[in-house]
Amino acid sequence: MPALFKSLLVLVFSALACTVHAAEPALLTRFVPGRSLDEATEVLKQAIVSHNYTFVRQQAIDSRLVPVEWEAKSVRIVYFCNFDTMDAALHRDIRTARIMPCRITLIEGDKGVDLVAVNPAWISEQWNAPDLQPGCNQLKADYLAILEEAAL
Amino acid sequence: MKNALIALALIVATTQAEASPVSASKTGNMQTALDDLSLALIDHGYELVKVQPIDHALVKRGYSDPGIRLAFVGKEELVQQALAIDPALLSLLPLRLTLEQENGRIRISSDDLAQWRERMPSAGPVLQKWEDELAAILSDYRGHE
Repeated sequence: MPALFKSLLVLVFSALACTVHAAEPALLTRFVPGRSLDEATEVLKQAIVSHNYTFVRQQAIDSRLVPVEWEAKSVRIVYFCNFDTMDAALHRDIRTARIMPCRITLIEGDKGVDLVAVNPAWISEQWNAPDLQPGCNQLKADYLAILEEAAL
Repeated sequence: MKNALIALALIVATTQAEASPVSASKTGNMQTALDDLSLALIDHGYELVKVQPIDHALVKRGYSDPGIRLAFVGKEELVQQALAIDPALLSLLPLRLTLEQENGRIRISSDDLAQWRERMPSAGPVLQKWEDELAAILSDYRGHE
């Protein structure tokens, strides 16, 4: 009976842990007021570099899907990464490729530019790999720091 | 009591189980896999937007080869659908496929769109359509091996 009770407690705590994780937002967002898409892209690239990441590339959301002259002018994606982190993460678990490279989508509106990134800590919750969560939480913190700096 | 515990265990296991992204594996190398994937994409009206050679990028910088490449794929219609339903979906585009070397085979897997369907029920039908299309593409990639 004590063993059964212990099993029950473990199951209840596991279920509670799931509930706590469910609070993680799917997206990380910030708004850059009063800037154009080009201006917001530039400050974002500066923020990326200042947080020890490497800018990889930028593209229109429909790049290569439509002729260049028809590409969307108001939605752009910026890709970046940190090679040390990438190497360490892939050695630990190949599933981390699903959050690589880092990318932020910029959406221009009338009053500024929305910056949107998928929250790596939310993605990794589905992996049932507690040892990966700290790294993904750190990546989320880095995203937030970059977004904050770009939104200043 | 025992039955109740088993039932509870099943519920928790189901809740915690990782949703399975769409995937397919077959014999080959990165280049043949990309060639076959490109053909499968074209057959379904998709484009290969960009290949991110993580393996080359890391090796070039002195790291070991992780045997991983990423392929970003899409079609214009997906962008229009995202804009119409929820611009948050734009952060998923272009769709990411992970190519992974494993014992002479290349496994290609998608991001986990089921996780997104769960979080964004209003976008569920569109996300399901995208997932179905990716499943069809990867089925073609796998062929009749």
